[in-house]
Amino acid sequence: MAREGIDLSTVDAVRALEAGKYTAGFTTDIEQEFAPKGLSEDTVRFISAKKDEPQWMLDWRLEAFRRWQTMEEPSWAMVRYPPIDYQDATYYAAPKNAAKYKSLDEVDPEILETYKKLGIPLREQETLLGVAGAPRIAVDAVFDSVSVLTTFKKELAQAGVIFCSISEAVREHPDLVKKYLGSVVPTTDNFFATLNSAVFSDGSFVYVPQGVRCPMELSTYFRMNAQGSGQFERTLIIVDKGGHVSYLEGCTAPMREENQLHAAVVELVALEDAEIKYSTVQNWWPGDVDGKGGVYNFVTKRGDCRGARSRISWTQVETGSAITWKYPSCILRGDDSSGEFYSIAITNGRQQADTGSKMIHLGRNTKSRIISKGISAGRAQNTYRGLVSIHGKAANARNFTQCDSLLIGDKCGAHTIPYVEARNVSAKLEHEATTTKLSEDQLFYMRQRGIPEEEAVALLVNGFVREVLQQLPMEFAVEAQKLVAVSLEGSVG
Amino acid sequence: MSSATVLPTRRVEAWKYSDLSAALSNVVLPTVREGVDIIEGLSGGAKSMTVPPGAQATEIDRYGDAALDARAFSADVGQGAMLTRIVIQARSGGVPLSTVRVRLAAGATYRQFVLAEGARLARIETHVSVEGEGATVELNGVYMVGRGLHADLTSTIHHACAGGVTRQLVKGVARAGGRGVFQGRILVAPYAQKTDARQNHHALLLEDGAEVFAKPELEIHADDVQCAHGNTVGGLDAEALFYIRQRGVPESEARALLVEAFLGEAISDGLPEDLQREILDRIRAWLGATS
Amino acid sequence: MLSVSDLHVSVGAAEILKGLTLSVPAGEVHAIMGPNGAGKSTLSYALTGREGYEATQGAVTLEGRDLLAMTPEERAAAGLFLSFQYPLEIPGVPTMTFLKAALNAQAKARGEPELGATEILKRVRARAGELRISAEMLKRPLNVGFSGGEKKRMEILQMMVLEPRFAILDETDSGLDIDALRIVADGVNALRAPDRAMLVITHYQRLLDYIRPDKVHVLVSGRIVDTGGPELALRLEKEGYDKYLAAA
Repeated sequence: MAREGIDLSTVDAVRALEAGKYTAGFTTDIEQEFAPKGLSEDTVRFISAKKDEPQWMLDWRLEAFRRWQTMEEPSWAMVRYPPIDYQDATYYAAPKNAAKYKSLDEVDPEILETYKKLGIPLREQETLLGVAGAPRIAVDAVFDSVSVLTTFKKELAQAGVIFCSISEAVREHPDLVKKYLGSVVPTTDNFFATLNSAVFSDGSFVYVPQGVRCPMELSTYFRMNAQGSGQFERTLIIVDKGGHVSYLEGCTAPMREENQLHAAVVELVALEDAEIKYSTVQNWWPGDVDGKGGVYNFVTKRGDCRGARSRISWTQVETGSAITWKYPSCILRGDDSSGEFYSIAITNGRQQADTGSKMIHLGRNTKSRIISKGISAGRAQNTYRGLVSIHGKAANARNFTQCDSLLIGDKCGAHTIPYVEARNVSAKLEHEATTTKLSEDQLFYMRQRGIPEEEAVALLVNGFVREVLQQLPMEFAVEAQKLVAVSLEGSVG
Repeated sequence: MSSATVLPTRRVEAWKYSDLSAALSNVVLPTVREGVDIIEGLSGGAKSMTVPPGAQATEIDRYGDAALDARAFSADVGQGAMLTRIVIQARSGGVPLSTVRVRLAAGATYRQFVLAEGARLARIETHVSVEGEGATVELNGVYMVGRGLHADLTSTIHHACAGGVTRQLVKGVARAGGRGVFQGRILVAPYAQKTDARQNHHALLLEDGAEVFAKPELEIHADDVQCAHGNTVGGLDAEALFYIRQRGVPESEARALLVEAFLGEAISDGLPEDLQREILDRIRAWLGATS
Repeated sequence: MLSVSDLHVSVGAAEILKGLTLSVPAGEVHAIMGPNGAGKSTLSYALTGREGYEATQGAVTLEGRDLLAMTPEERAAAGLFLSFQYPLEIPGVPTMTFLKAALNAQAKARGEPELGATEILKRVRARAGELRISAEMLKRPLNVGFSGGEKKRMEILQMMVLEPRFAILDETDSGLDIDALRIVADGVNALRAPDRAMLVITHYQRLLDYIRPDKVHVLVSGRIVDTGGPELALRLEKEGYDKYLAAA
């Protein structure tokens, strides 16, 4: 019943909104402090000092920065953009006095209002959508470079779960951070990840101890506000033996004429029998219809199924950003571990997305599944790029990959580039991909039954992506479905 | 990256799985230019032809045991004409390289079949450009590689005109120490509406230590198209093997039977009969010799 | 109720309907028969407003309203329903979701109150029972994996639930075995009403044994060339269309 309700609420959402409006595009007017523009060792030291970091953390950053200076920006993705001037950005922006917020009452009301407008109430008695009876969700709210507040900390602490900003974790849980930070995405990994390692500002840290099922959904909400600033968040989630966590992240940014850089790193570690479900609803400002402005979303996300029978599942709904470069991956190291990747990537206007997944099978009996739904409209380019690699020791490894692309209009592109590397005789890999256009026959059939065209498109597209939407936690599925419909407005007719 | 002798290495995306520079490290080369041109730059290896409108032609390319055998071939296939090309790359310790560029006029057909038995490094590279409406491309192939052998079937089919049809089926088997590579790109340009392209690559790993790398690619810039690709890699179907053995067929024979059936699907009916027979014989010989 | 006068319709460069005139009053069921390529499906698409079927001349009104000026969904809201010859599969969209969307969109367009989910479910279930459509079928995406007969029954279910003023049944009998044909015909007959009319397009007389028409029209080469009572259908079955084709 509830699932059926989603389809119609999408339709309502489409109706309620003016055509083609990005509703998260407003700015928040508060006092902020910035790092001096530009990027040097001094910038790295400035950020580290702002966060009262210990020396080892600063050294780690500096090493990454020196490494980064020797690296080249990758060019293999099917995305085009003018060269980025890394000296022409600000690498730290924070609301004044942010570090001092101890409780909700101290948070700048403008910031609270911002999250409220975005549908993310930070008051603990409220749930994400304000629906009575819905499960409660703990939120870490990251505003530009700092985490301004984490809710439900006490309740989580009772269960033994640590949920805090990464800055706080560096100070309060240095042993965990030292042990795991950079252990999945090393500082040398790639150009953008290395940059992030040098200048990361904030993000979330989660530790779920042995045998604990996290009692509520955890969520981080990233908001980019300051002009000319980049956001470099770093998230680290560790789930100890037999533990379980479901984590959601949401992202939005104001409409800005210039491009904003977002280079995040997310590391997940699942020990024996642990399970991590990571969901993203990414709605950064995509730029206007002519391709002016928008966020460059260059993100490295990787999970390590370190222990036997561990599971990591990525679900992403990517509707925003001018450019998306992102390949959430799983290293299936533990025997019998499994990885999943479910993705909806929608590009409209002049957006470009090059996204997919990597599944690295190292252990025996490892399984992976990739379901990708790409939708391209307007003058957008949408690429699925993925790697499935089966190593020699990965006996009985299994992969199934399905990539479907839907084209709306004749000026956009949809591309599918899977890489498959098999080195074990008992492995089985299957990949299927199709590219089709929105069927005029289906559209006419629905209109004949009285359903208006925009609504018919929304229903068809929702049908196309349903398999992936069903992977999202209920509360986010509704939001995501609205986003799907809204981001395609104006794409037909 | 100018006039110096630069051979493609694994750092070059299109040569990701075939390190030419390493394979030729102890071969003395004439001075060559970078990139693909190196192949055309070698003496005696270039050939071009034109198939007049309505005509039919067949081209057979055999690669033997030379230390380095780099050939370039280009063809213009006229309206309604048909070119059939068969490449037989016999097992060798050398480096056979084939680069082909074919342009198709309206209603033309290019049919290619490649049998690659592998070499120190064998690369059969095919570029087809559909430049007239309603042209047809059939690009099939079989590779079978054992220890120390490498076979790379790489192709780009560029649909620049409407109504083109592509059927591509490549099948491969690899034994321990062998490496099979399939890279196939289908590009549908804007306005190449009604293109109907199917691309399939299926490979069997017959023993541990065998490697297959595949990169099937669809790049679609037109909306009114039917494009799909499929790719599978795995071992022999244990159930089918058991079924045949239960009927009294010895294991090695049962395996050969299954592999032959598997590879045979890629051999199109349209090939000249004697060559079809030769290809089948070669497959059987390979299966007999190594099983 | 439905009035078509001197309708010319082109598909691409070809003119398929060449001055078709037809009038179906409320309460009546008319049949249109004709050989392959006569323009039967073109007529149903032209009436429902499918893109690419361009009316170059003539007029079509339903209860006095100009249909040709409307979009497909406006025509549907005006009460026009087409049972498709080849019903579409809509992957990922459950049948109930689809029906709810259609019912409420039509109600909204007509300025009527929308129906609640429970009410819709009740209505659909009752009708589904009559057509022997299982609850399981209703849960599946619309028509996906259905047999030809199941798809046709699903079309009639939609008609029963949407309660149109004017229904076009395009080759509804094709692909049906005799049992399914009876079920479908019962469903159609149950919908006959003084304020509703129907146009049954068919190749064969067989369907008309079950759905008895008030009038039969013969469509040949884009025009109505003969009109009569149910007996005309029987005669066509015996004699074929040669006589008309020779004249045309």
